Amino acid sequence: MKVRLMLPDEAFDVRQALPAGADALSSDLDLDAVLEAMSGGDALVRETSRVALLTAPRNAPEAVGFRQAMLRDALRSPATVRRLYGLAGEADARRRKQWLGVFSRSPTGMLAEAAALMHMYLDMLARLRSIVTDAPAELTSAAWRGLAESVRVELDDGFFEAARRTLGEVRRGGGVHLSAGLGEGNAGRDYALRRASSRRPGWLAWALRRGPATFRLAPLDDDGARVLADMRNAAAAPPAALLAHAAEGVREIFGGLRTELAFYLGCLNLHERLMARAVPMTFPTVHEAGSRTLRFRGLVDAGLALRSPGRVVGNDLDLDGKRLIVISGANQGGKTVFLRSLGLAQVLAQAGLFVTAEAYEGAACNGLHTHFSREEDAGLVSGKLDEELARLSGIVDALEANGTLLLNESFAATNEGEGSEVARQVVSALVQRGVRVAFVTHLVAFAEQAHRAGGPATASLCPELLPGGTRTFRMVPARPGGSGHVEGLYRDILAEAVEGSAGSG
Amino acid sequence: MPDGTARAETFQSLLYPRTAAASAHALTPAGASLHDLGLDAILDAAASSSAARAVLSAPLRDPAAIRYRQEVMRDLESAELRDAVTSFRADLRAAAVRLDEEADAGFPYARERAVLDAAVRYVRAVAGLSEALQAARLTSRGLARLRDRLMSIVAGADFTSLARDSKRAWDGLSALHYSLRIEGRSVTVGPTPASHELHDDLSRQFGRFMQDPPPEPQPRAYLPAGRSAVQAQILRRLAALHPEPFEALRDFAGHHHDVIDPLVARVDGELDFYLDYLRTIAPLRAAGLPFCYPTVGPREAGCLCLDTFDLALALRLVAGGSPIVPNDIELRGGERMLVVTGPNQGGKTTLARTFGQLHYLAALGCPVPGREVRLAPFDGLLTHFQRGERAGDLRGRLVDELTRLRELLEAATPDSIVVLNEPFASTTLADARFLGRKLLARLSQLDLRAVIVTFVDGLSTFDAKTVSMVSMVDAEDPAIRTLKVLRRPADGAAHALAIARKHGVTLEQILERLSP
Repeated sequence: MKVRLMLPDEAFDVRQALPAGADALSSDLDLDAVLEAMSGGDALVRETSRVALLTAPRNAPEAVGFRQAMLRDALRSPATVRRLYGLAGEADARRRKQWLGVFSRSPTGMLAEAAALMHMYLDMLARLRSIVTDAPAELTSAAWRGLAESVRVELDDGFFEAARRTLGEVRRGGGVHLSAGLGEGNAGRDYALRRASSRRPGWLAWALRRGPATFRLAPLDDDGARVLADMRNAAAAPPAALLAHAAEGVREIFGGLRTELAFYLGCLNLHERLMARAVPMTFPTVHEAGSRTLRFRGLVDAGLALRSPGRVVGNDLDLDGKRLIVISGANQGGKTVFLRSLGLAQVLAQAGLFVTAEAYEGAACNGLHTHFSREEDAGLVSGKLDEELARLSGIVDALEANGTLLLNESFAATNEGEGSEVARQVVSALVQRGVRVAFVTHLVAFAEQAHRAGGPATASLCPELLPGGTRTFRMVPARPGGSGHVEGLYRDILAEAVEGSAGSG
Repeated sequence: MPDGTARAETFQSLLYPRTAAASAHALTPAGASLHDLGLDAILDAAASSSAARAVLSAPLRDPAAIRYRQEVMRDLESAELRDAVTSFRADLRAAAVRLDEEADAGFPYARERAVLDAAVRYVRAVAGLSEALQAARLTSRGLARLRDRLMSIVAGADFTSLARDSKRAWDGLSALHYSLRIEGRSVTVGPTPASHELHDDLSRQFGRFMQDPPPEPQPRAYLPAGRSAVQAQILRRLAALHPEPFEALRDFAGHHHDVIDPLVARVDGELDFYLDYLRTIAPLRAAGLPFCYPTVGPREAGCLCLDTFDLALALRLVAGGSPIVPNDIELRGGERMLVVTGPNQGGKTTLARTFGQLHYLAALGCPVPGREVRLAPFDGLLTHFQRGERAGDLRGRLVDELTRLRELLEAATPDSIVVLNEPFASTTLADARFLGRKLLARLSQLDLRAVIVTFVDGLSTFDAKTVSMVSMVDAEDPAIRTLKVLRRPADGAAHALAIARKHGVTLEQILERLSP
């Protein structure tokens, strides 16, 4: 019996090693805002969601579809998800209460303890069965049907009956019946416990016919008692290990159920929060990695939407076929927020969630990496470039074809000519190797060169400036301009002071 | 070696071509030298028995005796043969253990069963090894002679009847199955019960929950004492119920007594040396480090060691997963002395140790670290390392050092291998240069082979017999401590240049890694 609610073929491992660069991805995309909304105050929900998001940029489109369908079911019957999640938590709590985590040393004791633990689990499994059986009929995802089918086949009446009988026999204690053979030194070997079911007649007849086959230990024969205990232990060891292993398996089933439902619970929480803020949500269409599809309408940065009190401006763009997206232009125009929204949408889409947009269609990526300029090192200019390139080198180690790299103000720690040359070499090498790059930059020489040389696979975007210099915080295709990027700021902040005084003087 | 020669001689020993040659020509380096060269650590890691330790502690002088061992060791490199030898030894040792227990009385059929158990294991051991040796393509005289000897033992009438009788008695007892009904302190012995095994039913009913394959049963974890009074009671009842196999057992033990041939027992002990060494270097080979059988040529042919390394250090580092940097060591024609200089932590001492180890291990008949190794015979290993932190003033330590050097020079002959590590480290540079020149003059005059690790650059150009080697520091990863030591003129700037390499490569390095 297996729980497969997040991936079609394997359990979701919440303790798995995260991909290289996961910490940077998390802080650069401000995942905390999203995770806070998902958690609803539950640490397990938060942790599972965190791992699900950070490992998302490797999921194939099939896995994405699998999760989307299950999430749709969860949205149809949130109560079922919450009830199962509660049951799985209770199973864990009862196990902890009943059993402190270490089985007895002696196999005989261990067998009894494992039987008691399994007995408790049988109750929990019966409740699992009734929740699943009572769930609304409109739950149709492959994930849900897999669980329901597994419950129907594995947890049938016949199973519960036979299992209760066997466990009852083990727990009753008293005399035991075992079989053995002779090994080296005429020592006993192959000790095995037998079921009690075969009753006396044959046995008794045999014993009577063949004479005194029974002996008793003397009342003070402690050595003899010890040997008998050893024989019982030798016979009990394999079934004890087996039953303990099976109990561990049930623990993992409930644990897996709890973990995987925690993710969907997180999705439900996020959905509620975004609904309350009237943020648009859509289930994205996710294409094969390498298809280079990317177009969206009304895409907002989910983190910003959750944090800011007002309405957030959405972006509409068709970036199909683009391998390189260069975002340059005016400061304070929303470039970094846009870059984040691209990354976060990629993460949410590939994690199987809805995306904060009115419509979204995009290619899966094979690993998502971020290289954002780190402000804290701004003091040491030469040291900063050193740090940036060392960090880039680490990313290059982890990059694969059809991976995606988001660069934010990279290589700005040197003069523009040198920085642009570094950027040109790095970006063109990456693009040649099939990596998709989105780059927010002030390196005008690089942005212009990329625009000139890039052809149809390159998109140049700038924040939209309305006539008169008003910023809309929307990105539009535009030729990168050499001098425009501070003009807006200059106008807003300095122009009056400078020109005003010039005019008066 | 040709099989014809092998057949001509009867088997004596796997370690020596002739028994008389045994220890007469062995070298016995001082314990301090073993420690200086890291050989004590190698011996500790390798020797699994006192027999193996004795062999590992006595390098040979005679090139013919060394070749005899190299042949055997080469044959034992075959994993199949080694597996066969390993199970041979396991069975033989278990047989000996059973016979030692035999004296225990008071348990029914104790002596008879011990003889039977020992016989079954001994038969399997000898027949198995004989077959494996016949199946193997042997090139060593030692193992070919052993094979012939074992074949004649196995074909003999004694062995044949031992094998036949032991199998019959064993099979009869193994076929016995019985049941025990234990209720409190009462035990009833009966036939095999018809009911299911609990384990099978649990497996059928609860297997559906197992996320991983079930754990391997560990039948030995709770094995009841074999010769208990309880088991004696059970046995007596079993023997009364099934007399036939027990009569066959008594019959067998009455006919067979001394089951183990002393020659076979001796072979077992001699194998320790070979198997211990091969087992010790196996993880290093698995990590990709090269080993080879050194050739031993005349002194005038010089010495050549390609991709060699310090075995003691490699054993430590490979266990910890750290990389090893191999080095080349060469003495051409009239060259005799390697003077090693360069930055600290650069692998100088390691190289010096390696040179000494290579000679020692080669003289044992072992494969040595390196892709290709050619050495000349030697008659002694003399070493001079700093002796811990002995209390006392500088002058006292210098006196002590000079005294030890005098003893070393007195013991040295033209066939000695001398390893000097940082002599005169406690004196001034001028004093060290002065003393070093005197020391090298004497070593050069003796015409012996030596490695001298020193901070005195000037010694590297002492005379025509001197070769200069310099340790390099890898500025990229100072964590790597066994680094390249290259044959080149001593140069105080090498370190600074190496560090300069680290900076100025950033972009090129990135682009290089991106190339498909």
